[in-house]
Amino acid sequence: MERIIPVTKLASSTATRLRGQGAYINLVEHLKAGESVSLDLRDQELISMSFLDQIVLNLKAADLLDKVTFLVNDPAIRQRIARIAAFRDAVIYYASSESEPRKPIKPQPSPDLQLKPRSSAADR
Amino acid sequence: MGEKLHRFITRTSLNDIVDVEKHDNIADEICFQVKEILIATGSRLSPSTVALMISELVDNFAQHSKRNLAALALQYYPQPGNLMIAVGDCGIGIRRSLASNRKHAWLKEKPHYIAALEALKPGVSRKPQGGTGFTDVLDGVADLGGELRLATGDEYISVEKGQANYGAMNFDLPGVQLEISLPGRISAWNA
Repeated sequence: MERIIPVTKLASSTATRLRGQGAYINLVEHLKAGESVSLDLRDQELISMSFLDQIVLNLKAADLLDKVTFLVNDPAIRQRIARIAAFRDAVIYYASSESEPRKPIKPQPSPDLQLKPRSSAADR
Repeated sequence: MGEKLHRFITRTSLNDIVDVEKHDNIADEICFQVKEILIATGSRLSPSTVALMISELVDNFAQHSKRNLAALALQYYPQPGNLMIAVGDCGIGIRRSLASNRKHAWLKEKPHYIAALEALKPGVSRKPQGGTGFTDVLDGVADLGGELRLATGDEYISVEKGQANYGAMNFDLPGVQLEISLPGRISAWNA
């Protein structure tokens, strides 16, 4: 069974890209031995897309992304990971619980905005 | 610097002059305070979603405005439960910021609204790593049935229900001014 690392052990806050960078540096220490780990995002609500993106970008650049399973049960956080998978063209593995086999998250692109005709500020 | 900065917090509001130079952790700090205010008000709006949206906006300013100060205002109206958020800075603005990245240099001669719309796209940023802040904010605004309005230079854009509107203003402002309105009751607001 993979080692489970709570995200709170890697970063004091999970709201910004800067914290994501710090979390990655701590996470990679656990990956040096070549083992796979599960990054536990459960029970943590304030996880921003920037925080997650910084971890994913670094893992992808280091060719370590497939060594990490994101443990996530919050639909909002799962959507953030799915967005990242789409625009970073990344294969990101996730599971809802440690007893569940991991699977690649389905990329979910952001919806395109429909542009309405130009209006003037005075119209508003 | 000796400059006194002001943070005013009540049960339903937060007004702050955001000082990036002195506070490395300003986005984290404000994120937690916003969450506490929303929990205290009993708002129907998800405190975490709103707190993260504001955190992303403050962090955007910190990363890209090239200024040390920005203003943040948050006001919750118990009846009917609407929340208004405003963040503004006097920095370099979206067009100049994005155009400083060679990949987005084409924006340099384009209208401000084009740069603003481009900035809303995932992965678009002045920096090689970045471009997720507005994606998170737009998802939050959509989930909560709200509207985002953004002014930069002499133009504005607004986004509501997946549609973007844009137009000219009668003045040219430095930096970026952004306002988010979140309704207490989705059906009433969208009626």
